[in-house]
Amino acid sequence: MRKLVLTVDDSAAIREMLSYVLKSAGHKVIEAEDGMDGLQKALSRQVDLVITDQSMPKMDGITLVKALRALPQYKKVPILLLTTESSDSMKDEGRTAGATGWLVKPFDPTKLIEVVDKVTGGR
Amino acid sequence: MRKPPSRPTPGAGPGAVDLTRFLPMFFQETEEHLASMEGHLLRLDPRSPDAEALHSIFRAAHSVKGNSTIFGAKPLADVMHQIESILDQMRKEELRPTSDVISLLLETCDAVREELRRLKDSGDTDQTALQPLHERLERLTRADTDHKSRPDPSIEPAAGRSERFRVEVHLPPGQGIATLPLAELYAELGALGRIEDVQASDGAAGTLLLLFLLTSERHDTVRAKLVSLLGTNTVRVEHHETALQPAPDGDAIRPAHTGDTAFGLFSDERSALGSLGSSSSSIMRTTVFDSTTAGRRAVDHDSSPSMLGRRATDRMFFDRSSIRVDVDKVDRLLNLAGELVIAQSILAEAAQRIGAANDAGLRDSVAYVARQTRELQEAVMGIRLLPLDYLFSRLPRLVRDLAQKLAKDVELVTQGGDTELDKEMIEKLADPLMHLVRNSLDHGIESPQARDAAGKRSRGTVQIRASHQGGGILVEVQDDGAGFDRDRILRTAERRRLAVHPDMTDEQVWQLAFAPGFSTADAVSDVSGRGVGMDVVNRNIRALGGSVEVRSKRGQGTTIALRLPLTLAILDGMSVEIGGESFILPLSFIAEALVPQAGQVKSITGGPRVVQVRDSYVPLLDLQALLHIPEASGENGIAIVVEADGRQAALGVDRLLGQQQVVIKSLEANYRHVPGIAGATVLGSGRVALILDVSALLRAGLAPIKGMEELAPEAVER
Amino acid sequence: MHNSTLSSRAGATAVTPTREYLAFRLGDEVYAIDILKVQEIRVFEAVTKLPGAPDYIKGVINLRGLIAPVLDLRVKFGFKEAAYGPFTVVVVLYVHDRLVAVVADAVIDVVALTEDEIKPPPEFATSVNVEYVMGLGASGDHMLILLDIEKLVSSQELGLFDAEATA
Repeated sequence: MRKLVLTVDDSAAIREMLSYVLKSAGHKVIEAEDGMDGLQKALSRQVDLVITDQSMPKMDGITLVKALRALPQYKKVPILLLTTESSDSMKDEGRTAGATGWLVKPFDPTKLIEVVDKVTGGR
Repeated sequence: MRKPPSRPTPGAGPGAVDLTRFLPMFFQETEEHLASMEGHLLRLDPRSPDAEALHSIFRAAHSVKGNSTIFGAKPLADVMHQIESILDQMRKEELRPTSDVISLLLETCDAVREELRRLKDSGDTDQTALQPLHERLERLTRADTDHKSRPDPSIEPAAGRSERFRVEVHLPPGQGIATLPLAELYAELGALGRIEDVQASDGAAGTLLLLFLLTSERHDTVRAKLVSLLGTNTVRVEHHETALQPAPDGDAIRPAHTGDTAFGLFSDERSALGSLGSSSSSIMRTTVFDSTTAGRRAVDHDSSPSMLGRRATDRMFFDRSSIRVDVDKVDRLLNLAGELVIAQSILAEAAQRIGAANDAGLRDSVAYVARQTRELQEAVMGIRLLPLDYLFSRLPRLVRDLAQKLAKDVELVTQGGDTELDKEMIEKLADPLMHLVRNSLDHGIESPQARDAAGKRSRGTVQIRASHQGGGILVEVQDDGAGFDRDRILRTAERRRLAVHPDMTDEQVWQLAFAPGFSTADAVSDVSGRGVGMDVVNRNIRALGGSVEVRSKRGQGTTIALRLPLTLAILDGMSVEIGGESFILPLSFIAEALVPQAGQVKSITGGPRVVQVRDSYVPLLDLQALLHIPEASGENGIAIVVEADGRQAALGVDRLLGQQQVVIKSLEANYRHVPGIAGATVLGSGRVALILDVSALLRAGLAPIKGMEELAPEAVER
Repeated sequence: MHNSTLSSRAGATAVTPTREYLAFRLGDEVYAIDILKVQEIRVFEAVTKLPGAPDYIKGVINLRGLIAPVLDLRVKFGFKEAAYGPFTVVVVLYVHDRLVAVVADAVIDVVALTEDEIKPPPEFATSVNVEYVMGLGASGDHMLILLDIEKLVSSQELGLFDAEATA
């Protein structure tokens, strides 16, 4: 099922990669360059899924997750964290902030689509 | 043409997407990050390094590290990792950014750039190329007491000290967060500083939204902004004193891996909502778990995040309010706009032919189209404008390296970097400008000892000033060095058999330095590069439609002034008829026009003719000879007095055909440079008109030697 | 490839590779150039003179916004006459990334020739320097002088381009 995904990452290369993979799987993508941009975009348009990097200018990913969770319309929307390592501290942080899951970079595109489908209840 | 990368080395698991398509982006981003790092490094003050700059450098290195890992450039990632550590130590004041340290970091940036280039060209990294640097960086991060220092409490932190505020937004029961103007609220807070944390909760007492803001703004400012947005009853702003709290495993250098999983779900999708107050312990703890520096992103907390204070460097390299557009697209747009200008003038001409003089409606419409076209064109040209800072940003590095190499003490001052120029112009200005700066350092500024002996400050100054002047741009390169050596230039000129005579004014002597192949450096200086001299600079600037002026005083210094038109593409010109052919004369050179009466044109015994202009005589150029126009005599027509390079002359034309804005087309794209001609344009009739190169005409026409030789097609300066 | 017109010989086999050439008249002679280099053919219209240019460069014209030089090979090759009549055309070529317009008295045809149909150029002097002649062909009654237009146009002799450009 086609979903509207918001990707938030300050690296244009990563955004490109995510877009490419997601669009190939039939999803629609909105991109944001940093946490604040992502938040504004999420506010102006309801998305089905948010995939966000952590370290970004203006607002980092964890804060973005928290800000989104504070919004009624995003309490239940799946949010995935893009991380460079799958460590305990990351998991703690992510879990506390309210993220739905994480994905380690570089990501396996098949896995990405699987996770996307899983969390959005698609297929 | 760029070769595509020959093979993708990006490492990823099985089924990985072919990452090569994203490589160009990776290269571009990394270049930008490196440039940004370099810019910040050059500005660091060893005594009190700016926290924001350190943060920017750290983040840039971090980004490059991340991307490099993904794209399989591990050596780059490793080196960036070390830079991260070094920056972190600097931020914690355990390491001072001394000149040596900065040099090492700059060297690293260079080496990484080199590796990047290698990767781009051959699809391969040299695993060992960065090894020596890696070791030097390693040594630096270990205890090396020369560079390390204890944090000095007496040193005041950089101005714009940031503080934390706790913003509480209360909403009565029944009024959810959705009733808040959230987009504006976040935008406002984002503009004030950096939002570090967000907490929200719903309860019987209502809804509470907690936002933690790090900002260098004052309390009243923050409060005022929020109150005006939300109302006094809704929001409270308080200082928030919290020490940094280390992450749970804050002491681990490397966060523990929990095995293999490349993805996963948090088992319970618990939201971050908790009851009021219980989450305060988690505030301020922001862990960067992918940084290996003790798991703390303390860097963020200390930086002054006010986006209003962002430096030009950041804005230049990461201007988030702009979009990236392919240059080709902009050029195409520009061409179309130019074509529209031509089409519109064809239209105007056609309208006139069919008698628009009698039809006010048609006349008005044509005029309206003309106006709109002009506006469109200006708007499109505006897209291509870039600030000169684009060029100036390269200079600090150049000056630093060169000064070190030459053992001179030089300070670079730039002014007017926000002056904007057409992109193409800026690109073409790069080489001449850098050459002039090199010249100043090499030949201008003396050694500290020599300067001392001369009673000057041992530190020399090179100033670059840019400003708008009379419809164009003026860029001056000034040094307080030794100035041009008149005698030396004259001697060299004589040796090169250039015409000299003892009465030449200083300006005329300096102009000799512009002769092809002229160089007073007896030993070809490798600093200024193969003895490439002022003549190349001059030629390059002239090719842009500009001019070069030299002012110099022995012992005091030299100023080279470059005058450039705003754009390469459009020209305000006067259409003139000479000997039955029409030409365009750029308005910027025209001083005045007059119709000489009988007897006002005189000749100096069998030689050049002059025309009387009020109380003086201005040389009348022999266009017949200069432009090989058989019927140009200039006696019975109009004399147009033009000025270029500080000199005046008169051009005899038969008729003035009218003023018009023309789109400059290149002759050299399909032909070659024609001496005396600056370019061409297409008139409303569809015919080509040539644009006169006034500078060249003056030079040839006024030269003490036979002017014609300079413009003979065979004697083209190449 | 071009949908072309008449081939020079009936019964030319489709198997042997042919190249197509644009045949045009200069004075009494017929020249031919590789059609792939030809961008378009235009009526000869007013040309803007270039100061100090050699006599075989008539000037420049406007080609949809681009400025291109007009070359009169009749003058260059030293023909007795170089008239401009109602059939005079310019053949616009795209060579070495540049546009060059060449004056022709008339355009004759597009001719397809196989390699064996091209004879080597004669040793004796022709109007045009033999180093620019790729060979001789035939089309009907005409002898076609196949010009190496690339070499000619970029030659120092013609001086159309700056020395660096032809590197």
